[in-house]
Amino acid sequence: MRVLNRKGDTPTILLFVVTIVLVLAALFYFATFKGGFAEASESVSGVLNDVAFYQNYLIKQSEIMGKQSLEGLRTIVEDGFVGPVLPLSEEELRKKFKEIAERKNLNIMGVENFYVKVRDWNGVSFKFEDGGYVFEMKNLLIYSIDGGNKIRRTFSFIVEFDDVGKVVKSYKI
Amino acid sequence: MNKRGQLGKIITSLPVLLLIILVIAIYLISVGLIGFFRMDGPDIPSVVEGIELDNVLLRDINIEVDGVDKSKIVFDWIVDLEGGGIDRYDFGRALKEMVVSEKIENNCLVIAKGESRNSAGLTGAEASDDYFIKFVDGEAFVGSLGNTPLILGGYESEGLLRQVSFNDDSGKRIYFQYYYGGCLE
Repeated sequence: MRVLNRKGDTPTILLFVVTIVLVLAALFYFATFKGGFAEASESVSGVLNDVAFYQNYLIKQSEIMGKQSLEGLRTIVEDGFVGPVLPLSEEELRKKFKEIAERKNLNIMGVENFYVKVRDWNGVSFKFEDGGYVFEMKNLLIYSIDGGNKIRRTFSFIVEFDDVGKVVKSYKI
Repeated sequence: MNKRGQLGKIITSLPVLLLIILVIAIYLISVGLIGFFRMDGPDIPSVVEGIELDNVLLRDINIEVDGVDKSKIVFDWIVDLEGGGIDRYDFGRALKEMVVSEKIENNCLVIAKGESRNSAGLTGAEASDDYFIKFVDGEAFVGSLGNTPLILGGYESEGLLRQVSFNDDSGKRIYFQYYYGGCLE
């Protein structure tokens, strides 16, 4: 009696076995899925809100620090003095701004780059321009991390002051 | 030898099958492991959003610290409060002064701080750093530890509260929700 050669059935059988395994794996994944899209979405939304807030926070801090720098450096004019008040130099403004920023640094995670840029005066300028003072910061990096989510954002902004230190306007560039 | 009809046999041959299984296994393992690795997204330059500097957290308020009157924005005071730099009663008093000074009738200020998201409405110790101040009929009313959680829970249910978080000095994440605007009836 001739014995049937079944050697060629091994791959076919394996195909069947692998299919069953994959189907079971998919079913297991479905069963253990917690449907936590809302939770993940909330976390992402949270870090987005943080970054949006940090942006406004740092612009506001720049306004405060710039104002305090200008007020602190404003020359005291003697009674009877007749003549123009010289604008403050960039060097004086830089020194004062750095001093104030160092005091105000609360070591909040996500905004460290602002204080590093001020310390190194990298991408930062604060100078007299067109009758007022202009503070500019370029390519400031902020971020927020919560759990497995991290959002980073880079932006640049300008704060304009009048000659007595009052904020005229602030805007992103 | 004519090999034209051999493709089916090749595909279902054992080595090719093992290769396919290996590729699928690698894919499944990578999908499973991807959650453990934080992937940084690209830096997205932000010029689309406007600036919002009249946020209540960016308002200046004065608090006396060690006998000296200091002025900082609300957010900085909250960071100080978390670090133990100021007393929560002094902070509450300063918030009340801010609300009174603005004299906006039927305006409510809500601040709820906690170690988890959506902490507004929690009771007990979780409510100890929550504030509710209402300005009505020319006077400011401050919520008590008893009724504040319920009131704050109402604002949260209405979706009025915004949330910000930060890491304190020890690296612990602090969340707080806030609102400043017309009071809920």
